[in-house]
Amino acid sequence: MPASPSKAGERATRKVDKPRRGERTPFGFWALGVATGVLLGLALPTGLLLAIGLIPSALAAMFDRAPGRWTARSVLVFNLAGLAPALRALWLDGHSLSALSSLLLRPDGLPLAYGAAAIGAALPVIASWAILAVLEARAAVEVARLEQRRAALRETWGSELDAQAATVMPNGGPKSSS
Amino acid sequence: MASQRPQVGGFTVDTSAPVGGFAPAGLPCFRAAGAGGEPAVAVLCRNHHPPRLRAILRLIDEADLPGLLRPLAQDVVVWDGVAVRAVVYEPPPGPALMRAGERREPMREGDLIQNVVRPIGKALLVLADLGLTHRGIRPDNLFRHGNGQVVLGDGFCLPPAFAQPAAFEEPAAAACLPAGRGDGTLADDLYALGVSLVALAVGEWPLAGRDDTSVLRAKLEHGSLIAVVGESRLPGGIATLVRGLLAEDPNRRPQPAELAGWPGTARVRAVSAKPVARASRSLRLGTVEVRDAPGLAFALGQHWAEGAEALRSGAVAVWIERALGQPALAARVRDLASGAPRGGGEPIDGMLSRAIAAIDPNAPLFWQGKALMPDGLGTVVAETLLAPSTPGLPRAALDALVADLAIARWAAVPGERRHDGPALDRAARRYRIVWLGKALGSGPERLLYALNPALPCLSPLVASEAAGTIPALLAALERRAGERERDSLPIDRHLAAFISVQMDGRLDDALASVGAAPTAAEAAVGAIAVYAALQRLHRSPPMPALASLLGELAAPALAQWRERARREQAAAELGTVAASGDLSRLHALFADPEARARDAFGFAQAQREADEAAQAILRIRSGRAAREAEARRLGARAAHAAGLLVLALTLLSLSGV
Repeated sequence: MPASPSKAGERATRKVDKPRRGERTPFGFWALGVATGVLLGLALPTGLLLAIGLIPSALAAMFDRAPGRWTARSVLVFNLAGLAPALRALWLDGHSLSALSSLLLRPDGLPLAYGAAAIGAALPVIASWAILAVLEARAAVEVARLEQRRAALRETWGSELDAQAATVMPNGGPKSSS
Repeated sequence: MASQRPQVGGFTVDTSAPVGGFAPAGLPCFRAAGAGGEPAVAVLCRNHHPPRLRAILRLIDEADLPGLLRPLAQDVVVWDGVAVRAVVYEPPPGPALMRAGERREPMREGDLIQNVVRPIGKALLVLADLGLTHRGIRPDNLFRHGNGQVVLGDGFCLPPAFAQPAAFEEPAAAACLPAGRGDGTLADDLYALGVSLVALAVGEWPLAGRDDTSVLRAKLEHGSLIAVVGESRLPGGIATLVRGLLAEDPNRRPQPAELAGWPGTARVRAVSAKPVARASRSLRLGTVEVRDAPGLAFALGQHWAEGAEALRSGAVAVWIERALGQPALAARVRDLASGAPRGGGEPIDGMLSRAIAAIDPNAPLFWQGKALMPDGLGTVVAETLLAPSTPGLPRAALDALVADLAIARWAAVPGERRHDGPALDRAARRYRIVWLGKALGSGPERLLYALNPALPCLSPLVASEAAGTIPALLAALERRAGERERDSLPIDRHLAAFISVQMDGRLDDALASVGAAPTAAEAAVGAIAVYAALQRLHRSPPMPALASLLGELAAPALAQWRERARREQAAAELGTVAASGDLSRLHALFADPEARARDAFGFAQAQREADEAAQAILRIRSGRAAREAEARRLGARAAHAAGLLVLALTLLSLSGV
């Protein structure tokens, strides 16, 4: 039975009113659920290994609300890199739950995956510190160059230049502007 | 002063040897000698009664001056601590024909015609060709050796006709202030010659013992001929000549060419003038009873307050209409009087001055009870501004005369006058602008020098220095610069006015900027500009003392150079350049226009650059948060990229490649 015009209009209104993110999130969530279900149905040991091994990535995805979620991505790729040897070992050892259980206790299993994820979480912070240090150094060099230029101009044209030009007060605020 | 021996154009003046009977009105006169010992006499002029320099220069250049004592040289000398102009004449051939007030044996008719009339006729002919008048013809200024021909003495060391007694001047000139009689015309010289002939023919000074007012009144009441000759009997030929020379109408007087060949060249002309209309009853003004229009005009002019009251009350217009029978003139006088308010003040003066001009077009310009000819204004200004004692025309009256355009308004009154009305109008307006000008180089001092070119610079800054020209002035300033206080500017209103006139106004802007400078240092820079221009234009020698003084005064203005190196270089060079005495270089240290423009442009550019740098520093210092955000963003991306790389390498290694 076809929907009545009023119900069709309400749906359309709901579609318009719902945010696009909100619309995609359930789809992604369900898609992940379906994929997980398929994976668990077809390859249970692999699915369990991924589910257990990618817990750091899931936590990172939950807590990283920054645009682009680059930290979560970093955690994910490191987490995957750390989990790859365990996956290979699982598949080479018969792809069974017993192999999975023995694998989980090995040091190149979960510890490696979690350690890699930890590196993936720490690396953005360390990298940003390093980049900030570079940027600050560049800024300091630029400020020094500009101060040097101002000093040279003051040397050439005298202190009247400061009296009329915009100058910077010791606390960084503008003193005057001609 | 016996030790003074001033030099005047190659003549040495011996101030210990005074010469009497040559210079009029008490002017100092001394023997002088040329380089070859040729004798001369030197007359020292007065500044408040300046000589007629233009005439003197023309006569010095003239090769042949028959019947006239030749001026040989002129210059400015210092006499009694004051710079005055001195004129050297060739010595008179003998004594004067007759001293003032002296009685002598009358000269014979033949002697008069042969030795007086003819040579003076020739002299007047030369003067007329040169466009000059003498205005000093009188018996005590006629010199002769033995029974030879007379020569006419000096008439140029004082203002025109200054030394002429009222008897020797026409009524209009006689009524004027002695300093304000103006150059006049040839007719005035002919009139004076006529009176002189009467004196020589009678052997008695005409109208002797009478004051100027009674002489003037006698001439107005009886006419010049009757007033001058009186009861005396003149030889027949002389009587005819005198009648012509004293004719009231100047056009009826014999001309110099006729006199030079008198009586052979005499032309027949009717000497009787149109009789002056006499009133049926007299009008009393003050102590004077007037019966005709000229008499009324002079009475109004000489009794200013009573005249103003009589004019305003309508008594004058009624008298002109009913007693004189001139209703048109009465209506004009009534019109002029109707605009004048009650009480004193300028409108009364202007009204009365114009009313007098309307009543008698031949009358001089009357102003506040004094009279002057418009072309005598310059010497009146000199007398009023410079005379040590009370001048003929008080300063307040002179201020009002110039500021109220009295000359222009007088000239605008309808009537036949010998003056060019439009030219007088233009001149009066120019005088007013100059007189009221407040800028340095303008004001009364400017008019003083403009109308009296013979005056040396009278600034106290060059006191006791003979500064009659710009080069002489610069030399005087250089001499005095070392003695001056180091904190006062070597320029004042007299100096500025003198420079302005000598330079025909070409430095007016520079002079005005000196006066308008906000600081003493900038005024000194302006003064350097003025003196540098004068030094350059007159190719004057270096002036290290003046440059040093000006450099010291202007030194603070070096701070106006924006570029520090330039400023320090200029300060370092200041002493050297000042010592060189080159004022143009000194001026360039302070205000070279091109360098100034470059300096200002460079400073503006530097200012903009410094401003931009300050803004950039501010931006950088306040941009840490942005940099942190950027670092976080880049760090996360870098970590992600590193992760991808690690993942790829891991997969590769696990695949066994």
